[in-house]
Amino acid sequence: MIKLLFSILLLSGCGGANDGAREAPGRERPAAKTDEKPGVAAERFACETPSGWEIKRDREKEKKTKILKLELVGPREGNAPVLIYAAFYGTGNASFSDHADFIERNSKNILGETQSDTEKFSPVKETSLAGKKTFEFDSEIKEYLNPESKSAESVVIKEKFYVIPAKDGFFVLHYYAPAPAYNKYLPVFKKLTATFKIL
Amino acid sequence: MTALSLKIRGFRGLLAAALSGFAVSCACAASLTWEEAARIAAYDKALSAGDPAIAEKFLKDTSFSDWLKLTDPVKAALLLSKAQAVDDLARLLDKPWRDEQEAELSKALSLRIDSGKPLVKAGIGPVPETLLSWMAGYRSYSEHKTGLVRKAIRQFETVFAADKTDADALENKRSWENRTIRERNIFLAEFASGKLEKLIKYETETGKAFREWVRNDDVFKYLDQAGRARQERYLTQLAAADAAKSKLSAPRLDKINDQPIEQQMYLLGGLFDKSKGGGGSLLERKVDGARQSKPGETLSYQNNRLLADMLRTAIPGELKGSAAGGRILQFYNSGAGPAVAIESCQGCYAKYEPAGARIVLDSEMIQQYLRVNNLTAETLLSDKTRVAALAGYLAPIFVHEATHQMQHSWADKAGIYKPYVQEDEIEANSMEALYTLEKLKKDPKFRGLFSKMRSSASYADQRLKLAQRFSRNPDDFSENVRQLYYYGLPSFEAASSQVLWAVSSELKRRKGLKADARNELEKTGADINEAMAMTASELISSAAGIKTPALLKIQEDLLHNAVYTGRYEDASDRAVAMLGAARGSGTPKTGAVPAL
Repeated sequence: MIKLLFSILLLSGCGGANDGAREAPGRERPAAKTDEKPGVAAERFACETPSGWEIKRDREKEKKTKILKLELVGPREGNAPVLIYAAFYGTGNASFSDHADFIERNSKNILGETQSDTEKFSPVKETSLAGKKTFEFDSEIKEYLNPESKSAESVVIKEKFYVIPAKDGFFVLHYYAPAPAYNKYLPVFKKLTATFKIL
Repeated sequence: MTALSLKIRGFRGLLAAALSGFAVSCACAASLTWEEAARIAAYDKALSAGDPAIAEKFLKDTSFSDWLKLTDPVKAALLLSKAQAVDDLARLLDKPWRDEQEAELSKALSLRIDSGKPLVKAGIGPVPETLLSWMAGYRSYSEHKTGLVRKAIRQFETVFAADKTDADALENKRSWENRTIRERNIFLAEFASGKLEKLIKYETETGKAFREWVRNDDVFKYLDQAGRARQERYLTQLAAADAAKSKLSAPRLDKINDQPIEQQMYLLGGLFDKSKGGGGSLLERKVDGARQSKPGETLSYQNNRLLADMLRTAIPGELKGSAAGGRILQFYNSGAGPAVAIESCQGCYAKYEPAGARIVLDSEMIQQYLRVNNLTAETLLSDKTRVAALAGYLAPIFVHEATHQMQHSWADKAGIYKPYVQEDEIEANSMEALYTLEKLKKDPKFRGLFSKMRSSASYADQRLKLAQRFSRNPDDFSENVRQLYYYGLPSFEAASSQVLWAVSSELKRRKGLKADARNELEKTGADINEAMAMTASELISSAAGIKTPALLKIQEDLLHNAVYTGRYEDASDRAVAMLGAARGSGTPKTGAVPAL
């Protein structure tokens, strides 16, 4: 069983690392001291994050894209990273027109299929998270490690998505892991989603 | 200088170390106070010992490093490179690493610990075992991690089973310990590749148990990328042959079973051609995709030249009507058209060659296309429609390489040195993915072709998967490129740091040379044009043979990196904006289609 230590992290005014800077990774390195105070930007959500994971956030990019995003980088397993994203996509953001667009593009492959030799997408189901109507779905995709090379070396990536519509955009909680490590770090993601609060 | 003076108090420990026998040589610079010189010396000493805590401190001390860049740019570059290298190494090893990641860790360490790398001046490398000493001095890693690092640096005892008392073994060990991680990996990759080639040449087995053994045998973990590609191809052939043979009668099976794999694939391909099925079944396409070409399916030298000429006209026709394609056409409209050549690409599907300003398309990829589509060279070259279909198939990777050409053109026009980095691949992959997405949406023939080819040609499946990852979330795409597709390629920050260190170290060394040695170097060394054409690793390893003005130019370029980072940011933003526009709007306007 994995023992995890958690700290509260607020997006926009979070008690995490300096903007754009990387936190000290790994348990074998002392945690970076943080002295960031709650910011003046609008706060959209709060969640607990696992210690020992690298936390990335680019405030400058957020202003341009209207996408507030926390990226948590876990260990690498089998040539691929373990990642967790917690994000808010504001209306008019750079990437998706609305939550339905996000779901459409992430719950099927590029040819509109939910299954092929190398991919599987679960049905989109309605559930509840943070007291709100939420859409949940999964995917399992064989990804090539060297797309320019004739090497067919690949890794199967499993992902889980929670999409929560809001009046002025939508929230996404996204777990990304190579298949052999998926179940191992799923509790970390579940803990984050269990503590996720919309502000 | 008041802010700097106040911070001196925090460096008492460092100052004491600096004064205890370390020459404060830079106090000779007329503009430095004693305190400033001592502070520089203190940092230098600690970084030269590989102290990761000091490295982190130096990197955060931006007011000091910004001041030093103005006061003594050579020294600033040296200290910055050392600090970045040590900090980067510490972060790399501090992460959790599992046994299955041994090859990945080995590659990551080989890129950092080698002759001519900044870590050498921090006491780490080129002998790989110096890393273990550093770990003992600055880290308390677990037994598991230490053991994994020993395997990753290919320590003798972890690779070879040898009698410790045997004189030959001891001699071999001494020889081994003089090799860098990179050299050790090359040796082991060659050994593993040799074993694989013997199987391919002589082994007749194709069953599941054999395939599992080929996939998991210990020796094959040392294969390099080309070796792994060969292994994957072999496994694909074994699987295709096994599946096809399961449909054969016993007499037919007898004629095939005692042959090595390439011959089995050749014979199976011939059996499908004679069958009444008429071709086109999934199994036949898989066999055709995996086997070698027969006479008639190959492209001769003359065919390649003729086809390359035809593609120079056909490809622009395919690019027209898409935003990504339009951007490429606009670049070529300005007179920078490449030559297109068809040759063996040695493991890749296509590449841009700056020396000849040409895009090379892989001949084997095209020959595979012929096999799967039941074409011969003759039937292809005699039909413009078929050439156009091939052009459509090749267009995504062409867009990728043309984007690299645009990057080189930008650097040439700006007159700056450009290392090859992750950011280049973020842009090229984004443009390629964007093009593929647009064509899938607008062109039913393109969609049908890639849908058909994906199960028999990795090329086709790879194009679709890349476009899919970009479409799923363009905001996360650059991180995918860094973390998954190009993890072994340095970022601009890492590459520029390494080049800067090599260049600045060399400039410092030259200050101590006698006049005639310096003059000889300026006469015979590589000039600015040659230096600017070098890759980052070529520059690092040959800095001592480059003329001083060239080194100064490269140092100047890389110390002022906003030119690069601004362009990379613009490129990333542009791809996302173009995707948004393409998803929301109709056909973008483009000019007349030029032949390349």
